[in-house]
Amino acid sequence: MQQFAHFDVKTVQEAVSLLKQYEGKAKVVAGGTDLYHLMKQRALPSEGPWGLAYPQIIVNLKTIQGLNYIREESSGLKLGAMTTLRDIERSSLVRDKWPALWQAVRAISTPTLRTMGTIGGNIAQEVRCGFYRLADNYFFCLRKGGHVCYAIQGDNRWLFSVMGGPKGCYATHAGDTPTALMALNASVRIAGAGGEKTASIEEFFDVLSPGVKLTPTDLITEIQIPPQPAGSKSAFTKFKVRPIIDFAVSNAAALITKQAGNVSDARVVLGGVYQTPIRSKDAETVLKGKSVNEIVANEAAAAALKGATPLKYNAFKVDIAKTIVRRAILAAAS
Amino acid sequence: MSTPSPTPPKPFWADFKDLSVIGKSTKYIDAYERLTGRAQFASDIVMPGMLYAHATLSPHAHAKILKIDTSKAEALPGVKAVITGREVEDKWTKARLRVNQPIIALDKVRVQGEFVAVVAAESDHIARHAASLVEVEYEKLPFYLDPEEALKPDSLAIHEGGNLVGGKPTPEYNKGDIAKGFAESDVIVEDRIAAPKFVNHSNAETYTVVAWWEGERLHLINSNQWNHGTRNAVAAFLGLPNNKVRVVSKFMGMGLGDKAGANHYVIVAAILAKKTGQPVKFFLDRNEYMVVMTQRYPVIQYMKVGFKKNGKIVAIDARQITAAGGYFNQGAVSASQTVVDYYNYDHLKYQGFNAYTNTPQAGAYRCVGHPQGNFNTESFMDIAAEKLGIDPLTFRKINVIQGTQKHPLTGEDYARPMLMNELIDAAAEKFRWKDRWKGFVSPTFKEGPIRRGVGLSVNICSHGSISGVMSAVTMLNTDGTVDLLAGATDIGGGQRTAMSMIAAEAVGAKLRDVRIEDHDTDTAPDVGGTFGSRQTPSGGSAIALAGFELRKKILEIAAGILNAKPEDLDAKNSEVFLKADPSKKTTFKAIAARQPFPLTATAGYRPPPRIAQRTLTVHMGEIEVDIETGLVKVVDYLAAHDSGRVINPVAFIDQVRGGVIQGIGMALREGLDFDPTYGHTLNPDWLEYKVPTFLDLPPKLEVIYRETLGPWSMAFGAHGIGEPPITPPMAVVANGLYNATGVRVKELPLDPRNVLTAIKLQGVKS
Repeated sequence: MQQFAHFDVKTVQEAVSLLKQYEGKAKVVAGGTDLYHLMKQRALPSEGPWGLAYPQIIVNLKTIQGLNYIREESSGLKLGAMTTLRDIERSSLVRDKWPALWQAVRAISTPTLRTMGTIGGNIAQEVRCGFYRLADNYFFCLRKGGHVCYAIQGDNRWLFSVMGGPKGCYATHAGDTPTALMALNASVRIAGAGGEKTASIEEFFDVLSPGVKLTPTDLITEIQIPPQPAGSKSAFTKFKVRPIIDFAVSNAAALITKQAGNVSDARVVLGGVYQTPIRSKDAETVLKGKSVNEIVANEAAAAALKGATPLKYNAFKVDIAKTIVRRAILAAAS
Repeated sequence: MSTPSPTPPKPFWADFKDLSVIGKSTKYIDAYERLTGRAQFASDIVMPGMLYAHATLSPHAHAKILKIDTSKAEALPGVKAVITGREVEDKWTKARLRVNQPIIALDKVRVQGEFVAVVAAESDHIARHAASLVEVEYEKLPFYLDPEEALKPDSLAIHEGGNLVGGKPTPEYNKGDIAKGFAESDVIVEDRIAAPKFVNHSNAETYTVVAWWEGERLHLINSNQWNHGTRNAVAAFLGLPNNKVRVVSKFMGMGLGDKAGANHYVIVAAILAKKTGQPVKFFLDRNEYMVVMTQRYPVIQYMKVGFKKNGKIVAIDARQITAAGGYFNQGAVSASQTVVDYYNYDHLKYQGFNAYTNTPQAGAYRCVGHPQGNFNTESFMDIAAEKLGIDPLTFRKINVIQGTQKHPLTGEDYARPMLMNELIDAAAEKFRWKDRWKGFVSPTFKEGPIRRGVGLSVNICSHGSISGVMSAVTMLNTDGTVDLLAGATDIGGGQRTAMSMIAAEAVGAKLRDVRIEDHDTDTAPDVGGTFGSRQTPSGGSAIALAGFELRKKILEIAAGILNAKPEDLDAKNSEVFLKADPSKKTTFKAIAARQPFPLTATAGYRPPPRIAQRTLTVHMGEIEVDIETGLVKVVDYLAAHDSGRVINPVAFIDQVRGGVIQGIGMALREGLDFDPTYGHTLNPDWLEYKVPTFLDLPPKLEVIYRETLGPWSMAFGAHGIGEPPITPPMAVVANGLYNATGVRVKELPLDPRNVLTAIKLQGVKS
């Protein structure tokens, strides 16, 4: 690792003022499973704009009390941003009422990592692109401020987009909870130098670094999920190469509300196939008003992947994604 | 090529029938140290004044070095030395590693990860930083990742003389008349099957050495598989007498062939320690470990085989093409055994082509060359069996090496009867093969997208390959305890325990009375390295003989005490007793008390020359595939082995299980990915390089063994188990996948992409 200064902070306010003081040079760390990997790899250039360069200041959020909570309120579920994935996994409240999120958390890496990783960090993690992350900044790619996306010509089999490369980058968002949270219509509360704000998770993800709409002085403080509609059920599915540890080649989440056996409302989200999780309104349209069976689910999954434009080596991902979306729909409709 | 048969001897251990230590499951004698964290590995060593070495690695797969400027690195506070290939060449050694690899690159890099300069500094942090300050100007050259590409006539030569190593096929074998063989065949099958990936050892401990000098004497604490091998090689490189180098390796976090010889990092550490006058630790992290050293190498196999209608093989014409990497080390010599060693044939033409490539070096990894070749040959044989209309099990029994025959190519005698059919039958019975086999492309289970099918693979693997004389020392201490001096490095496979058990049995001592001295070239003689599945049979033989010698001396003294002839006495449990009346006895303690000094015995052992030493293996498995995602798992697995006498059953079974899991990893996913456009290794870490996890363990994994002994079997009849278990799983999985779906995947690994792509092309037929 290069050298950096490390600050433990006690409050969100203190964190924000440090971020302001070192604006553009500081990054926050929660579980550290994502950021420290990038730093240990020396994957980022030593100098450059915020997010594209090796941070000089680390603001440690683990020392803030009271950002780790799971609460049900009349307006829905409130998760402190520092809530560990393991705590969510252990919550029967989340398991019973927001199963897609619970299933997504369970699908992440290993118990050890889930004990370290947080829900805020899982949302705000960087892409797992092998070119972006390769040691010693060997590939100074477009996402780091360079000019080339090496995935287009390179080995683009696994963790790369099949739905196009907005602004030239073909990396995929690596998270599992974002897919579920988008299906569950969640919002994100953000603290920053400009004050507090709340963003719908659908609007929250962004292309290119850092992958989310946060300014250098922002940090996530809470995840909010509305109560689930009557007659609804949610489900999450993930395809990974090994039974444990691996990031999603493809994941999917569905929230399906039924009235008298037919779908009255649906939210279908795909992950691992594009720079951000993507909601498929086409798939939702297919489902609405229908009784879900294999054929309908298949049709919806096909609609979700309709515009797919795989790269040279990853066409197989389109088939896998279809299967994963179909299985999520069938599970949510069961 | 047939040689006259030597007369079968009576094995030196033949009189030992009633064994009291060998054959009983015994917990590792060093388990306490290992499990409590007291065991010190090379990586744990910290010495006063120790410096840390770090290398500047070539980022390119193939490039000319135009200029190296180390001035910025040297100027960094805390840096004590920076060396380049030029300095090594001019001041230290002109010798090459293995065939043609400079210790540090000179004018050209041929592999990404090649050392270009190495820094020694006061901390690891400074060393790494300094290594990044070494400025190198490269001129990038076209690179070759695929051996078949590298061999094309217009490819740029990676070494002078072209990309075919040695300028000709190596090895080449011929038997009979290949044209006649095909003319006499009723059915001819031809195919190309390939294991095209480099596969990393994934040792728990990466490469680490600590080097320091005391005057003109070099000390090394190194994570290696053969202390004396390292000692002698380092001494040769530096022009020192062997006993001016001392190598210690008491605990090491696995060695799978890659830590068998003297590696460049060891020599570099020794040079840096000399240059600075301080101890130097050279540790390679996981990223570095996965690119700088040898790997399991690609083997591409073209095979044409002629059969009689009854399934009997008549003629084999095979070519194997291996990727040697930037510098030559290992290739088709080992892989060829998977063509010439399994089955009988009258006519053979074999050629091995080793091609230089701009990839990591080909090298030994648990059964060098065999798992790749086994996948190719055993996938091929299933394809052929189906064409012949013969089930895979019967097909094997028709053709496999069997009984007291001679080797089909060399004409050598086998060390013991090759009871392959008996092993196949035992495996089939335990696995219930006959109930589960319903024909080719007949799944054992089918529901929704899930298909299951069974597959098998056989393997005959050589072992005990060092032919020199090795030696061991035994000693009865004055209190009746026994010391064993034998440099048999424990690489994690339980060698320390097995060697102690052999000594205890041979001397007649209690196991807990035996202390083994095995990890220091200053105190233990050389019994050869722990590799090639050789330590237990070969090293164990020297130890057994040294044990017998000591027993002889003990019995002679006991004869005086018990008023009997030595030949009427026997020793067990550290006691000597009359065979006719075991109540008449004395103890080792009493015997030793009569001696003012320890009793010592030494013995040398040389494995019998020109005798084919082989381990026998039959694996069967049931695999499951999701035909919608291409995800393959192994749900049931049976490993049947005949490695002669089993010394420590619990360790034997662990070896087999570990090998099977490693093999499943290679079958399903493992392989270094080199970017086709940029040549860089993209997955030098354990996230994207996918070693198996505990959840990959088949729900059922059974191990059975037979113990066939023969006239040339070595230590108490042991034949080695280190390597063979890793070899068959790839073909078992591929054959099982075919029987589940009718989809034949002819290139490893059987990962979701390759399987799903094959499913799309070929269509599921079940």
